[in-house]
Amino acid sequence: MTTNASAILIDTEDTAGRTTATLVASLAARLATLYLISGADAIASLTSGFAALGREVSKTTDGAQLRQALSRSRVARNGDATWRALHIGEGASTAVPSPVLDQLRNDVALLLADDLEQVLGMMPIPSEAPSGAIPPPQQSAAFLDFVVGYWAFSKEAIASIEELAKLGSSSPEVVNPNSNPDAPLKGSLLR
Amino acid sequence: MAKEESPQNPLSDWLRLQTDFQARLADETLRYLRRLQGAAAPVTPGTVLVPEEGSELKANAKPGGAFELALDVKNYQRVHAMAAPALDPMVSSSGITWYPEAEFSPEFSLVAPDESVKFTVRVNVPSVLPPGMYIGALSLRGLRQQVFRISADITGSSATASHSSESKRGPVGNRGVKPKSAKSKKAKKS
Repeated sequence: MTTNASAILIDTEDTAGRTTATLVASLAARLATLYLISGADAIASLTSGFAALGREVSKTTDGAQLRQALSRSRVARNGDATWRALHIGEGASTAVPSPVLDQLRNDVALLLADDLEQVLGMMPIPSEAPSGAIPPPQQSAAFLDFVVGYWAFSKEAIASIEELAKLGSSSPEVVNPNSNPDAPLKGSLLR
Repeated sequence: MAKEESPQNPLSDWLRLQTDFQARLADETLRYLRRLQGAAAPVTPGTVLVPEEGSELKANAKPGGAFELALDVKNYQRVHAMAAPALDPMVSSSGITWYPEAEFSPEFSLVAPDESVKFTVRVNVPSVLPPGMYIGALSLRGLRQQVFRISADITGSSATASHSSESKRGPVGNRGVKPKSAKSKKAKKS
């Protein structure tokens, strides 16, 4: 028995949406922000972002099973101990979570944009003004949240890159070392 | 000085309170500044998943059988989107938690603007699963603000129904991350 549902993917309300220009502007703004904040802030924000993703993914079957398997071993104990001793969790828990998955998806979308060259020619593009909304209340970033989030992020990155590679793949060519050596070479390199 | 260090000395208590207050103030100020920094952070354009037809998926299966779910996703954005389906654990009214073993086809997809992709999810029902109505959810990774509720009616009994009383002791299918090991354990039991 098969049951169906359908859904659409749309832009977030009250924003300029995802276009090549807004994605380029967002990436440029992210890079520019790095000059304004400390390395510790940047790392804490990324860690917090991975932990937020991990909390979300832990609700799914795969995420929950991975989390349970890790928590049954010494990995979780050692990780938690390191996390506490080096105060990694404190920094990550007070930082604003970086939307790491959205950023990855936006960067992949940029690689697939057919008008990227044209948009890059229009640089600098002003980034969308910050909404000014105070981010949601912080949740403590635990070691396992981070690990599960990092796993989900890596899985998405690998899948994205493999899909990108498929777009340019062609049927494998056979290279025969015994082919005719006297065949004239074509192309401009050996003119 | 010795009197000041005594725990009964009011000055010592006052000093401790002041230190705690200053530490707490610094901590709260840091949190506030971080949140302000978040309000001024660069905007990251995002994606919202909106159900079109039906946000509830219903299925019927026997223990040891399987059922399929399908989700059509269309990208109305102006650039490529990405989608990867995921299943939540399923829970019955009697409190049994089932971690479904599912095959996703495709597991991940790039969706071009104005294009659609159809995700098919084949869920294998363990033969030891006690009958009942199981409720779970199908979602897309990173887009959990909208999930599709799944109600799976597991009825009838399979050849290994005698195991059902044993399986009530704990979660079904939650015997490790690798499904293969779970299968081999079941084989050993039977």
